[in-house]
Amino acid sequence: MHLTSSPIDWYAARAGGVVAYVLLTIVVLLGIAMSSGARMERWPRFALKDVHRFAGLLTGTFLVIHIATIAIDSYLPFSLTSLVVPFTSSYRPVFIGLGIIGAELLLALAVTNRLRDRLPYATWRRLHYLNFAVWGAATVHGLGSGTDRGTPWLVAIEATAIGAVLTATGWRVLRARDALTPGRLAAVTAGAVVVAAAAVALVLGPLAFRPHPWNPARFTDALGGRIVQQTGATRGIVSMAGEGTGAQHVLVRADLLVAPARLLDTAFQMEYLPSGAHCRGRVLRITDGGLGFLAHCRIGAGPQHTVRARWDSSDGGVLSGGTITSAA
Amino acid sequence: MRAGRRRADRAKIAVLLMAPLLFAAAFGLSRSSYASHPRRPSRPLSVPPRFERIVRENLLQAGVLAPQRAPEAVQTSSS
Repeated sequence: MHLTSSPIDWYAARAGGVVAYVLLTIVVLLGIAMSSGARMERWPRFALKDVHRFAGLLTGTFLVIHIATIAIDSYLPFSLTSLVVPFTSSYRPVFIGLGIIGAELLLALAVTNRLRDRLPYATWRRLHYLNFAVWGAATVHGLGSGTDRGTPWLVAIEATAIGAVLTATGWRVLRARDALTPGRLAAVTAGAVVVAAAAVALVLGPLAFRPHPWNPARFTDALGGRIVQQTGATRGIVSMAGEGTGAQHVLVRADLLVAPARLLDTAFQMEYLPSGAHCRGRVLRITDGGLGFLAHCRIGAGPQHTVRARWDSSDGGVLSGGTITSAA
Repeated sequence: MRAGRRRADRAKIAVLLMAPLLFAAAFGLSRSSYASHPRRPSRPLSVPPRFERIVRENLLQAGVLAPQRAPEAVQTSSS
């Protein structure tokens, strides 16, 4: 299913999610207005219903764009299974899982809308209230996942949506209980503003997006690897190659050109991913009884990085339990 | 009734126009917030070509045309 690694696809996935959320919020607000039974001279119920249904269809369209563009992006860590089965994603499983649940619930509710004439009205109406759960799941999904979640523009959109839906819900409940007064409506609005502010604090605090620094000089990663030997008559190459994962994804390789009982030359390479930047240099010494090394390297003409790699054990050339540390 | 329908149609057109405009705006904002970067699938790094050349020449000097390989496992019709 991974068909592209184009950045355009990545931007489209992010934008599609934002538009789907804004449209879903409009659908929910229209639904609240319709269910309130309030008489609006200029907006008869059938007109609201027409716009409500149309905005719902458009929400589904942008949701499909959001999911499809994620599915075909080879760079994003989502398999088809992790996009369909909630909480199986390797990236922020809870928040992605809520997004999946919201989307699947929305699909189920779309089916009940198609079958509305065959369902008892009370059943359909009760099921239709699940749209609040869809909106809630989408809101938490947006607050807790995605690259743009901490950006001022998306935080503003989410805070406005939360404030609007909570205020409208409060208004609807007060109206249904015949308890709507200006004072109570002001209190409901103030409560909605507080919840929206709490959401903003959450997204800028504990849920904040902290991108990995770009090709950092300092990092420590877990390291797997292997030892490979290539032998000539009196010359040979001993290579230690590995992949660092964790704080910074890197590929590393130390090559030693050897003669009997003599080290002739060394080379060290480290590739930062996903940037593809190469840090090249030399191995200074072999450490940890042959299960590690110390190296220096530079990215282009940049500052020197000191890289220390070591593994706990080697079994048939497979190195395990390693760590790699880079320092300026 | 007719006025209500007209308003609904106008609102639908407004929503239909707003959605792609919002998409374009969010696309641009996404790009300016966190631009993409060169993406490459990870490939194993390779031995420096100079090292490989030295070992190959070393083998040639010793009269070996190809690196030593273990003989393939013998298979019989009953194996």
